[in-house]
Formats: sequence, structure tokens, C-alpha cells
Amino acid sequence: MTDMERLVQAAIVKVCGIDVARIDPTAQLADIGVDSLAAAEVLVELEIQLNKQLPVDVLRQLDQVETVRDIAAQLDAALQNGPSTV
Amino acid sequence: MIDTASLRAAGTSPAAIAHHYDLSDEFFALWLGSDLVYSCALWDAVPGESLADAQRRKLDFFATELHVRGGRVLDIGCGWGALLNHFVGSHGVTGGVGLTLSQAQAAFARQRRVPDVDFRVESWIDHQPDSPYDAISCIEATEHLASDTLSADEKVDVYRAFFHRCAEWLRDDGRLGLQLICLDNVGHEGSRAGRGATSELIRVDIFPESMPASLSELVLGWETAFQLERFLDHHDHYVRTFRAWGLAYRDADARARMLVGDRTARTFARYLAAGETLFRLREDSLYRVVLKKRPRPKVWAASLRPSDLGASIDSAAGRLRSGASAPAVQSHYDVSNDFYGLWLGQTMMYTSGMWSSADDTPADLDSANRRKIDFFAARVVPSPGAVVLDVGCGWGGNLRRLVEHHAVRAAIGLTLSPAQQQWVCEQPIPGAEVRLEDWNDHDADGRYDALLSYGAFEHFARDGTTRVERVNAYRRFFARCFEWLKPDGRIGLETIAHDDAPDTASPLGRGPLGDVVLNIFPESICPHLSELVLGFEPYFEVELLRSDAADFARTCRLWHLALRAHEARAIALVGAETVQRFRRYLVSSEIQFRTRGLTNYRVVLQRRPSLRW
Repeated sequence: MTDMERLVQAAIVKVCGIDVARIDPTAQLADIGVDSLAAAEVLVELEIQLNKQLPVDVLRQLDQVETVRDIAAQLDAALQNGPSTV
Repeated sequence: MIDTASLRAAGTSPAAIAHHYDLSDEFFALWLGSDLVYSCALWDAVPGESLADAQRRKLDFFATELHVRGGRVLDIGCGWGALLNHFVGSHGVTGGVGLTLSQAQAAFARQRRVPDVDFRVESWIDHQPDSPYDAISCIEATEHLASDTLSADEKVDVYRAFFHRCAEWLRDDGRLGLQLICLDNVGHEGSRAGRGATSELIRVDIFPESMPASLSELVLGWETAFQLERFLDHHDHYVRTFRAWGLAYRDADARARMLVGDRTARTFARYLAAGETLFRLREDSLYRVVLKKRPRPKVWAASLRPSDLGASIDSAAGRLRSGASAPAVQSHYDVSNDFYGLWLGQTMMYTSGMWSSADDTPADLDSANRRKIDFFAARVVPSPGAVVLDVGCGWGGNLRRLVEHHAVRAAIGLTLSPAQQQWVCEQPIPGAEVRLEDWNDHDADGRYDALLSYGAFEHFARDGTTRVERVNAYRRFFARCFEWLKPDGRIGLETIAHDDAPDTASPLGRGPLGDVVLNIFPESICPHLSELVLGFEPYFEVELLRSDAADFARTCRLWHLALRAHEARAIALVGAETVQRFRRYLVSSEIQFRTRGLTNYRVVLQRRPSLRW
């Protein structure tokens, strides 16, 4: 797992109270009980931790984020060029 | 969708266009000026500006708002080509197309030899672009889309088709700039007959087969495909423009009569005086509007037609209580004053803050709340000594500031939450009274100078209602406001609204993000823009309309951060389950504001001189 994938995993544990052992980077979020609302919570949690703002297109496609790896990849991209948050 | 033949029959015919615009280029140049810009100018606040400068400012405004640099632009109703000429010459537009039905205008525009711009005698109905446009402008041409014989329903069908086409022709995120003459204090029916000599002159002699829209008809037309970015009520700018045209015309009277004959010259002189009057009386208004193409068209359960709504509202029927019940409202706001105190901040304001400039500290919510109150007070509350009503006054933050900083003499706040009322009783506001009262039960004929309502409108119609039921509920509210206010009284209103989000009654209307918000505010529902406009239109003129989603997204984030910072205390006060529900609803709301599923409309309305029915 990359550092970012570990961060995402920890955020899911914190937000959703899911056992860390179930959160594999390639696990389908829907299968482990992370719906679009929970995904939103995870992204906002990570935005706050990293003091970065994700592009709005990422937020528009919450239904299409499928795995921990997907979220981590989008965060990595946002860290490259995203503006800091409030 | 309406077919091509019906669209063609609906609009102003080429012959009627020629009757006006093909009269004589030189004649129009006498009073429009040599650049031939035949639409409302954008004037500086300082008097004495030249018409040419004010027209250039208008073109610059649209170039800036439409982000045209480096792009291709379609100008629908391009007149004599001034806009595209200026966009290419001064704003880095790389090319485009101008459409007009006037042979004379097209010939003049082509003589400007604007690089890579094609001026065509072509209807929008027949237009087929070679490639998507980056921006579209339509400056006072919507008046020619639907003629004066059409019903309101038929007009809306035409506008829907027009905006649907515009969206198809634009690239993703492309913008549409509109300058709109709209019927204001005179409604659709009143505009068609019996409006007197002024109206007859314009409908028959000047612009045959043409007809302004009501704002609500245009919103119904654009709402599926476009979100609102910018809205300006500039009816006063048209008063100045008509005056400037009239003065220039007077100076050129002899030449005008030589060019078009005594009779036509006399008709135009009367038209220029009439135009000034119509805008001064606000029978017509002038709106500048910038729209942005939605990522996906908005999905409706059913389309709304003007004729679906009743012809009038009995304001006594306001007591029908079509909004959320008192227990439903209390289930949210009576959770715990101490709990709300942890995250709402000093002002105890439970609505959006306002950040207006880069100098405003992003994380300072208390200042942002005060800025919002001051913004509305400056536009709504006549000072000093005003009598004010706050519908849905919350914990009294707005009332307190109005009394302490805006010289309000007497203020009444209405709430359905005993906890909120008790909070204000414990910290009294001199001159202000908070009542535990439903607005349906409030009686105060003509008493108030101003009415404010932030974040209460969402409770005025119930979840699960149809669009028609919602509009009628809003109309009952505005009918009561009309009664409560003095003749020139104003409303400052703020409400969350559905923006890109589909109609909640549609198959796509719900999801986990939407449900968490709907569940925490039982029996409540946000309006769509068309429903809000249809609600106030019979009773109020719109002076200001802003869509400020980013402010509310930031407010939700700051509430969320404050709730996190006091999580242990919050759990001790209301339990872990409630804290979790509130946290999830704040996250969902922030995301929906950022993605423009929702927005936050800020509206300033002025009471009409008389009802518009």
C-alpha cells in the first residue's frame, strides 16, 4: 500500500467504523458499506487532514469512485495542483 | 418538444423584423451612435457619461462575464455587429457567428470585416454550428422568439426549445449571456390588451409580432439546461439609455424626417419617450443574466406550465399550513441550545455567512454572518426607525444586529421553536420581540417597512409535494408579505434551493447525499429557482438575485470543523448518534453546495404598486 492508500484506509476506519482488515486497496467500496455519502465524508476528512481542496469534478463523481486506490489516486492528483482549503 | 414549423410560426416574422430594423442604417445611427448598439447601455454611477462609453462598458461586461478570451462566440440577434466586432477587436475572441433576420443589419455588419466572424441572415431555428461555441450572447433578442398572440404556455415551450438548442451548441461549462426585456409590473394578460396607447404604439407600430417574457417564463425555459451565475436588475439603466437616445433624436430631428418621412419620424419620437416611461414605471424591466451550462440536464418528474397554476391566490388560504409542522420544525431546532452554541459561533446564526472580497478572512464565520446581515440591511431596511419582521428568526442574531447597528425601531421575530424563543428571552434584545407563532397566523396589515427571512423558506412547502403545490404554497406566503408590508416595503430573503439536483419527485431525485439532509429536516423541501420566481412574481419586483453556493459550502465546513473541535462536549449534550447525524448532514450539504446540486439564493424584492394578475 502507498502512504496515501494508508491515509485513505485510516479515514474510512475513522468515518465509517469499518474493521481495518476489510479495507483492501482494491476492495469495492460498495461491498464494504461505503456509499456515496460515506465517500463524501472520507474525502472531506482527508481534505481537512491534508489542508487541500479536491476539484469539484471528483466530488461530482462520488458514485463512480470504486476503490480505496481510486480515492488515493484522486487525492494524489489534487495534491499536485489543488488549492488549499478554508 | 415543439416542432420547427411551430417555432417559426411563434417568432417574429422576417417581414416584421424588416419593418423595424431595415428602415435605414443612417436613421438609426443618428440616435444610437455610429457603432449602432441598439440595446440598454451599462452606465457608470456618476452622471454625465457619454452613451458610447456606456455601451462599450456593456459589451466589456458581457466579454468578462462570459470568459470569451480565446474562444468562439455565437451572437443571436447580432444587430449591426458591434458586439462581435468589439469581442474580436478588444477581448481576444478568435471568431464566431452572428445571426440576424435583418438584411440591412447583416450587410452593415459584414462591411466591418471582422476576422473569422460570419454574419448571417439566419434564424436561430435553422442554425447548425460547425463546432461547439465557448460562449453565446443574446442581447435583447428573446423578445422576438415569441409573438404577442401566444399564450404563456406556448411562450414557455418556445423558450425551452431555444435554451435547449443553446445548451447543445455550447461546449461543457460554456456560458450564455442574456440581456432581457421582461414584463414586470404588467403581467402576460395585461400586456396583450388594454395597456393603452404606449403599449399599442410599441406592439403595433414599432415591434410587431414581438413580446417580452415574464421572468418566470424564461426561468422555466432555461432551468433544465442552465444554472444561474449572475443576475442584475438594470431597469434604471434603460431609463438613462432611452433618455440618451431621445436627446440625440431630438438633435437630429430634421435629418430623421428627411430619411424616414414625417410620420415614421414622429412615431419613433413617441416610442423613445414611451420606452423611457415603461422602464421608469417598471412596467418593463431590464435584466442582465449570465447562465452556465449544467454538466447534465436537470431531471424533472413532470414539466411545469404556467396554466397549471391557479389564476389567483386567496391569501386567507395561507392558513392552510402547507409547510412543515411545528413538531417537525421543533425536532430539528429544539435539539439543544448548548449544542448549537458549540458550532454556530457567537452570532448563533444558522444560515450562510457572506464573503464578498479577498480581504474577508475565510475562517471568520462571525464576521461573515454580520456581513450578510449588513448586506441585506443596506438594501432592505430604510433607516432610521424602521419596523421589521423576521420570519424564522432563529436565535435572534439578525434581530439583535438590526436593532443595535441599523437603527431599527421595532422588530418582531417569528419562530416555531420554543428553545429559540427561550434563548432570546434569556438575553433580551431591546425593541425586539420574539413570538412563538406560525407566519400563517401573523396579522399585521401594512405595518412593516421591511421583512427578512433567512433559511426559513425551506420549511414553507413540504417534501413530497408537486411543483404546482409548492408554487401555490410560496404564493400564499408572498401574498401575506404583500399585506404585511407598507407600499414600498422590501423583502430580504435567503433560501437554499435545488440547482443541478433533479426534482426530488423524479426517479433520480434521491440518493444517500440528499436523503441525509431531507431526513434531518423532516417535512421540508427546497425550491427550484422557477418555483421561487413564480411564487413572488405576482406580488414583488426583483431587485437583486444572487446564487451564492460557495458561501454556504464554506459555512458548512466551518460548522463541521467547530463541531469536530467540540465533539466530546457535543456527545455529552445530545449523544453520539445525534452528533453523527449532524456531522454527516453538514458534510453532505457542503458537497452539494460545492457540486452545485444545491445553491443559496439571496433575493431582494420590492412590493409591487398593485397585484400583478
